[in-house]
Amino acid sequence: MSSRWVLLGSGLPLLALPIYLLAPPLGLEPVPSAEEAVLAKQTEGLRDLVAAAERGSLVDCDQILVVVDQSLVQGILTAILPVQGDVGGGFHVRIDSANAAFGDSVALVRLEGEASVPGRAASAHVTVYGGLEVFEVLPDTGLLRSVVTVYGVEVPRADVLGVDERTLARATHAGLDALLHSIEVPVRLENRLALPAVRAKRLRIPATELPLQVGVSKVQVFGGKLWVCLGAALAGASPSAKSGTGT
Amino acid sequence: MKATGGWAVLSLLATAALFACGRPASPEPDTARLLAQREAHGDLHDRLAKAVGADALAARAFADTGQVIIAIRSRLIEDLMVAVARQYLDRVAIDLADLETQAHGGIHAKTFLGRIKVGDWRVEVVIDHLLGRLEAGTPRLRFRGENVLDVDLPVKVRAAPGRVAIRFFWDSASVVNLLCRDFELRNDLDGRVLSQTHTLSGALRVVAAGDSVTVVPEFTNRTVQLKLDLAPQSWTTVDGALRSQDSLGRCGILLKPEDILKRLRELAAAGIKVRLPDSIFRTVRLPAGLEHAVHIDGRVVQLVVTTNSLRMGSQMLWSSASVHLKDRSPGR
Repeated sequence: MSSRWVLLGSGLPLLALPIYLLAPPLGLEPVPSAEEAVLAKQTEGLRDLVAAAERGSLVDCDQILVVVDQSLVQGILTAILPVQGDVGGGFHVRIDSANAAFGDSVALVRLEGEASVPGRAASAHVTVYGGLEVFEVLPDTGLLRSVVTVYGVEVPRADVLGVDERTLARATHAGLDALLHSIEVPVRLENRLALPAVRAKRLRIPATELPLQVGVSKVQVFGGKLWVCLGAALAGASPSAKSGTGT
Repeated sequence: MKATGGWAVLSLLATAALFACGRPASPEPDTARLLAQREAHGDLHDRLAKAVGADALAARAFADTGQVIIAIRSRLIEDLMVAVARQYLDRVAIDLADLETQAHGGIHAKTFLGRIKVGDWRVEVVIDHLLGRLEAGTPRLRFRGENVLDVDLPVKVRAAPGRVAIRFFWDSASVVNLLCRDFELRNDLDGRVLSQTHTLSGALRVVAAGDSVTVVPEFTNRTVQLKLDLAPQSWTTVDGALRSQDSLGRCGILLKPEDILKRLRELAAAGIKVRLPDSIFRTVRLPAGLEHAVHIDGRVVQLVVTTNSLRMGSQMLWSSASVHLKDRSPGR
């Protein structure tokens, strides 16, 4: 196994990473590579997908299904590049390219860029493997948002900066939270049906709002697409969807 | 099946490519663990690829070229429309003032000269003031096809009191005009609209409207016959007014007040024709749509959204859109 592939907490939201940074070094124990981390996630998710597919209920949405192609997410990510900033530990990271590959239950994104130390000419190539997780409907805008979770960071030539790979990878991993925390998908879910008042010559109808409980009930990833199931229930009626988040 | 098999290969290649591109120039040998993981993953991937082909919804999405697909179960749309009808149309106030209806007839009498026309009568009922209240019942929806649902909407009219003017005109025929005069009666009376239910038949058309999907009501025939009645004391007043003409020289003697009252009751029961305003039916925006901009950690990405297709079937509404970055050429 390559020691240059460094896993920094599979599936851990970036917010939890400061805890990880405070944890003791892994020592001589083998560290799973980013590839292993993604394979593990995919294998776990694939089991569920295969089971659902073989039951004949792969895409089983009762109410609303949103399908998003990976090319759109990649385009959106690319549009905001480059992103850069200090990631801690005295390192500066600049992300220049992004690729998205949605398959086998993981909405994988690969970010590539350079890590540097201010005042030094040298820089090291950085590759971040992450995924879109924790989908939710934002209550204020109704937009669908996902959190970017980092699966692993790879820094093959950290030594050019005079540090070991693990140190730089950890800093990059933790600091990416500030650089790229979440991604919105351009799908809007209304939390109400609003009907304006009518004041015509013969007619008077007061304005009406029908509150809706809208939430993500299930997210699947396969075939280059995100498959997001959403529930919408009139408030007061028995909700058929979680109002919180789904992954 | 071909399409789904294709995505499987592409998906695997895409994921593999992400790692291959990022792999160090001289990777160390894979461990047994990694090899086992790859094997397990590959097996599951192949099984998924085979099973996906049987999923009609997935197959439809793979055949669609849109970047974003929004599919809504028809049942949800129907449920929402029922809720809108019942809640929005729960407190509709309708002003019936100035609506009118009328009836007329002629009266003939047998005389020594034979049967002659003695005159014409006409009665007008005009609503002076009456504020009605409508409530929609539960609509019945049926999928017609072509993005259209047929709908039958029961409209309940609550009983409500008001003021009604009744004008009665007597026009004596020329031959009897020598004996009695024309006359006109007017009474302002207590009346009411009766509790009743009408069914409006129309359609709901689902259309793409920019970044949203809307349901547009189409009710070409919005006319109802509102049944009216007079208060009991008002009927007594009308009866008395007609009978007050029942004297020589006033021609009421030729009238049969009970016949006129009967016609008046028939007129009220038949109702006044009311065409409900178009604004009573509102376009409803469905709760799922597309956005022209997204925010990523404080940065705004502007998008161009183009609806590719919108089709509503008996089971599902399927909306597909192309979404591209605003400042960049499509396909980048």
